[in-house]
Amino acid sequence: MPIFYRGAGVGTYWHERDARLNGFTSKKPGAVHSIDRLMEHIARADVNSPYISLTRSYGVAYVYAVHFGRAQPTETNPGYIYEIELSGPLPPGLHLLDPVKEVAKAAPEPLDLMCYQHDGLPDFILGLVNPREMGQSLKPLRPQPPPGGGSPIPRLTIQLETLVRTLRDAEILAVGNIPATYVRNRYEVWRWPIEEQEDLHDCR
Amino acid sequence: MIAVDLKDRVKGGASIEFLRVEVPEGHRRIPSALIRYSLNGVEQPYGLRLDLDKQVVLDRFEDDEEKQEAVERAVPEILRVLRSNLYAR
Repeated sequence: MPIFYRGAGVGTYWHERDARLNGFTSKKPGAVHSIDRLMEHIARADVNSPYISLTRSYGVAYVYAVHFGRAQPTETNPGYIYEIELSGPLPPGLHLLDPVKEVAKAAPEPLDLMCYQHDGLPDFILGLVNPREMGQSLKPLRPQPPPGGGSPIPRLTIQLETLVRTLRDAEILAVGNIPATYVRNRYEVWRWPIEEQEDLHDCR
Repeated sequence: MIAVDLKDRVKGGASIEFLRVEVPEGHRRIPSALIRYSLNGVEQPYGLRLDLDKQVVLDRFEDDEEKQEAVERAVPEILRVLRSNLYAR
């Protein structure tokens, strides 16, 4: 059965409430799903939405549990990784969305004037993936079509941001409540497993 | 954990003073930072989580617009301080 994870750092909502007891709910369960809300949720971290973020990656959940807390985790106050086992048919009112597919479904047609594609250099995407170290790639300096008819700054759309951030976090969104019976485990984590980090292999 | 001082480098407001920003030791692979701040001179036990890729703070002052605005105003400056201290090396 497919396994999903949710990391909860110290001091965050799902750290202070045990989802094994009452399951998961979104912050705005009554809100209606829309592609705009979905993109705001992922690209702008606006969690005033009907979505519950899950990940298919234990490693991503680990990072959220250990490094996305409001205080450093310790052995006595660890971060948590929830393990959620979901399979069809899902309980009434719950469905899952793959944000990549949702963005693709809503993307403009190639002949539309609006588009989601950037108009920067080929390394533009690297700047988007890692603005911390590659932010220069998002800068305006680039060749322009003659006679200077291009846009002054490269086009960065929320669609492209949503795609990249979804892929970063191996993210799947749940809409509706996830009952407690689907929450199989809650693991405690408080330090980065450095020894594993040194032993990483290229997965290609 | 690496701490970068924000005092006198990033403007606060609405009783908030930004003290420092903490990033994990393996910060090049981890897109998170924790902003430590004080309210009325008292350091708060819980910091504000900053997603360094999305460049947004994940925690909000839901019922205090003034504080929320002070945090949002400070984010670009905090990112600039971080970049010049960590990523430009």
